[in-house]
Amino acid sequence: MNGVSGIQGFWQAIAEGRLVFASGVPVFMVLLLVVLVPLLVWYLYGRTTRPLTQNDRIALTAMRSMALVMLLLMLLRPIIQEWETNPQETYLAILVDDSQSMQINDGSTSQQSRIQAVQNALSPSVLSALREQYQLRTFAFGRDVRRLNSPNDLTAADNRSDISTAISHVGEQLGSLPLNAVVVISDGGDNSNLDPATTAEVLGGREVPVFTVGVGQPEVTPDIAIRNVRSDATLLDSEQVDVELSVSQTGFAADAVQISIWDGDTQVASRQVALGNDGETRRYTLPVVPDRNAAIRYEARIETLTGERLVENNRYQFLVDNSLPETRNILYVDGHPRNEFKFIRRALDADDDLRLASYLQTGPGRFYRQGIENALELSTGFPEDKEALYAYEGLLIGDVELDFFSEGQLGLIRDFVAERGGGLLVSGMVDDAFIDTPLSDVLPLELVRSNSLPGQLQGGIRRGAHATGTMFTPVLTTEGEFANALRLGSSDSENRTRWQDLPELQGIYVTGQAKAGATVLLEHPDLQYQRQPLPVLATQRYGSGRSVALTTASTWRWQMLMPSEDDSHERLWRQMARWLTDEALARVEIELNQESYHAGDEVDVSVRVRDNVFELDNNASVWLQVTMPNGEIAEQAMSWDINDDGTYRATLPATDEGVYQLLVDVTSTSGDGATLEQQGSFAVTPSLREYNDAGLDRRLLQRVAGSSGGRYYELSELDSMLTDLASAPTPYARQVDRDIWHHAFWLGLLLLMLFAEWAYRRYRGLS
Amino acid sequence: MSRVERQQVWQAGVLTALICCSPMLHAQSQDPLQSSREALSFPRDFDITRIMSDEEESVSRRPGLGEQPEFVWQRGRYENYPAGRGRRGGWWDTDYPDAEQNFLRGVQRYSLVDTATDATRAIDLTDPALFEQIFLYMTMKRVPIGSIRSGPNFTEAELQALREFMLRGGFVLLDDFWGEAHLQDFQMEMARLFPEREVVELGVDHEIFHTFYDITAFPQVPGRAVTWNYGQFNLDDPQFPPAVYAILDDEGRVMLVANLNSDMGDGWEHTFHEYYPTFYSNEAYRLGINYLIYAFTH
Repeated sequence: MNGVSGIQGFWQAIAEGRLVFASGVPVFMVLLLVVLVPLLVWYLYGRTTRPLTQNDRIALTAMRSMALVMLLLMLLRPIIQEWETNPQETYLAILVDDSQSMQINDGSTSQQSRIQAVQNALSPSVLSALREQYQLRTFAFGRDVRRLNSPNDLTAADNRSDISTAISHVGEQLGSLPLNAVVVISDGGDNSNLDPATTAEVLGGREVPVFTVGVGQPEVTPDIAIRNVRSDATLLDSEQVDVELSVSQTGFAADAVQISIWDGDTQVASRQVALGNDGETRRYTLPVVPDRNAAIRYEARIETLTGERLVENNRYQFLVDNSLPETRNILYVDGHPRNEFKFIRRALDADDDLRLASYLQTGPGRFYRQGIENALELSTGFPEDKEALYAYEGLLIGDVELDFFSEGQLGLIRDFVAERGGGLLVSGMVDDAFIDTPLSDVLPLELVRSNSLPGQLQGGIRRGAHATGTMFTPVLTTEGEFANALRLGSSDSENRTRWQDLPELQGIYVTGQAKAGATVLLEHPDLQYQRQPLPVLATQRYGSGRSVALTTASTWRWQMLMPSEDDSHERLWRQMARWLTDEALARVEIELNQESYHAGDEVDVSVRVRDNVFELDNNASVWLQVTMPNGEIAEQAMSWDINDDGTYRATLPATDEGVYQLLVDVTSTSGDGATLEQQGSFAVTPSLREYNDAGLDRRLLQRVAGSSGGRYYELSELDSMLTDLASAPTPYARQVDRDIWHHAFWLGLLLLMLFAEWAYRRYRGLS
Repeated sequence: MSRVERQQVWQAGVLTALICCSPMLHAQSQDPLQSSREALSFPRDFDITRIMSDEEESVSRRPGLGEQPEFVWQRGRYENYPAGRGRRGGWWDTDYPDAEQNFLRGVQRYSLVDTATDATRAIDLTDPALFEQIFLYMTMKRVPIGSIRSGPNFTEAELQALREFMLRGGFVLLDDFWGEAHLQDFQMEMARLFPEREVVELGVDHEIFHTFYDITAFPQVPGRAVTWNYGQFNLDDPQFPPAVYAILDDEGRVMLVANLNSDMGDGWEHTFHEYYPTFYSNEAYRLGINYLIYAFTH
């Protein structure tokens, strides 16, 4: 024990209870002696040949007592208990974060990136000292873990940080060896789905502490970043995609910046926006019109501002799948010619993504078919078996009477929604006769006998002075205002304005209230039943599908009473038709385990196959063809998952950035034995996860250390960490007792006290 | 006139028409349409005598639809009516309102269109209420030819309203104009209506002739005094070959249809006139219902 650090170690040992007396004298005896010695000295100084002043007696007693107590303590053989490991007998693992976030120069050290700071800290001399003491194993980790021969081999290029896997990997690799401790040097930017503290706790349970060393600053500022991009083209105008950018910043509050969208080298949209307050995330929307029917990889960009610490997060790539969608088939049956039929037909007919087959009763025993694909379609009327009805994804029922359907057909309609996942929209009068039929189960509204309704609500639609026949402006409920199917504008204010501009509707079919679990999107402004506004448009999930009830027959007024250029009516009906059929099950469905991928990820592809009556098909042969960004094509058979009916799986490596095209080919012996194809795509984009929340995450690193019995240090405290490491009480360390009585410091102190006492007496003329 | 009296009149009319028509049809045996006409004089799927019957046979109103029908027949009343708007006696109101009332009786009997016999109205083309309905009927002929004071000589406001009506989805039926001169007059007026759109002649295979009935030939539905040559009774005059012209929208749907050398209005109006040939009434109804169903489905 030498110098200042020795004294510090002494005090630390006292604090940690590691200072003990080897003589075996009990502590209370030591304390008793420490008290008795000054008393004895005081007494003896009271019997001097020359009387002492009170002050002299106190000073002399203090100095002599200190000397005697010190001597007494030394005689009791004080020792400090320490842990040490024999050189080269144990292993030490150092894990260094080698992910992209370590490239950040956030000002923590002058003009150095984090990785450079680590390289400097792990100097050859430090490593050499460690190698003398331990079997040193150094690793770099990011997406995965690899041995690190030299800190100079660190590249900070991995697009992922997985501390948990790194710790667990080292635990497994060195688990059978005397692993003294694990040191993790990182900025704490973990973006795996695992909690590294939990993994560290497992190591802690094996008495292997994890020491963590933090690199970087808690905040990277100033910086502006695209946090997320969302694009929605499914329900709104299919020609335009609204791209929503979430942008956050620190240090550039209220500045104006240019945001833009690029398709390769071509800028396709741009806009000047004002940034929010520091730390605030704002969303900005840019309309993009894809110029081709394909899966297109766009890049959102924000101009780089002066002084920005991090420019990598100023770009964000995303995929817009503008491939020609599969045509959605909708069957529309109506009981008589009416304006609503005409204009629904016109609206949906003009949508290339939809095929509307209609079956209209024009007169007694007379029916008119439109939009049919062949002469046989609907030739015998409304489908009578699953195979025929399930060929459609959506079903619109207009103003029909109960005898339009047989009992079997009504059950089929229910199964169409529940089993096939089809969408049902009833846009006509549903009279008393439908009560207690399968259709009433499916509908989102309760059916109430008309004679039990209040007088002013009886009588169905009347175009006259009757309450249910008057003009009204439907009210958008909160759910309706934000329902994509009813959006008329990309911004909330535009949406509200366009809804306010719509002409009034006329007449409402009164049924009952919305069922529990149904969502009302539009309601009547005045008429109520049981103190609830009458629903005009309501929806509910039913089994796998969706049902919708529209209780007016006058949405055609949004077409005939609006300028011909206005597309509100067409847009609403097209959106509703898409919404209705959006979740209809497909015979072949491709599912991917992530929305987008980054290089190095694994892509899990699963395909669900159904036969022509939508039973899950376990007898299919499924091939997956992948066209990679470089144009290469690979094929593989997908294997049936025995635990998941109708499901076939395959795994692909995402190696290159770009768009991957998938083509699934299914042949089956079940059902109609048809050969089916399904296309899909995914994009592999540069990862920004390393640049989101890229500040030093101390709390995570402290949790990791704390959960395993280790400690957290800043990079500047690396030396202390290594010292502490050397005396950590690990299973491979042995306890050593260090005598401290023979240290020159104590002898010096003793002599100093004796000399001081002698000098005082001399000075006072007492000896 | 009581219901019983009305029924007696109609029955008498039917009998008279039958008696009158038989020799006339026979006299026209050289006509190329003769064979089909004989077969169609009382087609199995359309029997005008049912319309003449006073029995309430309407099938079109579903209980609960309400007091007022959805479909109201609109007859266009144009600006240049010589006697002033709102008054009877000009070309716009030729056959009004008997023609449409009779026709709607047929529509009620044979189709499920929600209408009523009295659901008719004459409407100025510039009246915003025009857009409350999807169908507009107008007589087309101008007498004398090219007169700016008789048939439609649309003002700019009327043209704009008509154009808008059709572009929003409304359907226009023009009727009752005869001969080459009227055809040219019609085409000039249509050129003013839609300068960028062509007036096309429809063949019998067009969908509009098969929406309800299968129409295989265009009839020359005669006017009351039959045909253009006043005073001479001359059915199926080869000088006036019937044809159907149309203006299509961007999707190829018919927005406007015009019957040349045919007067459906008279065919409906004179349903109960003993001297009016039943065959032509039949054909006028069949064609009219087809137009109406087309308007409701396209």
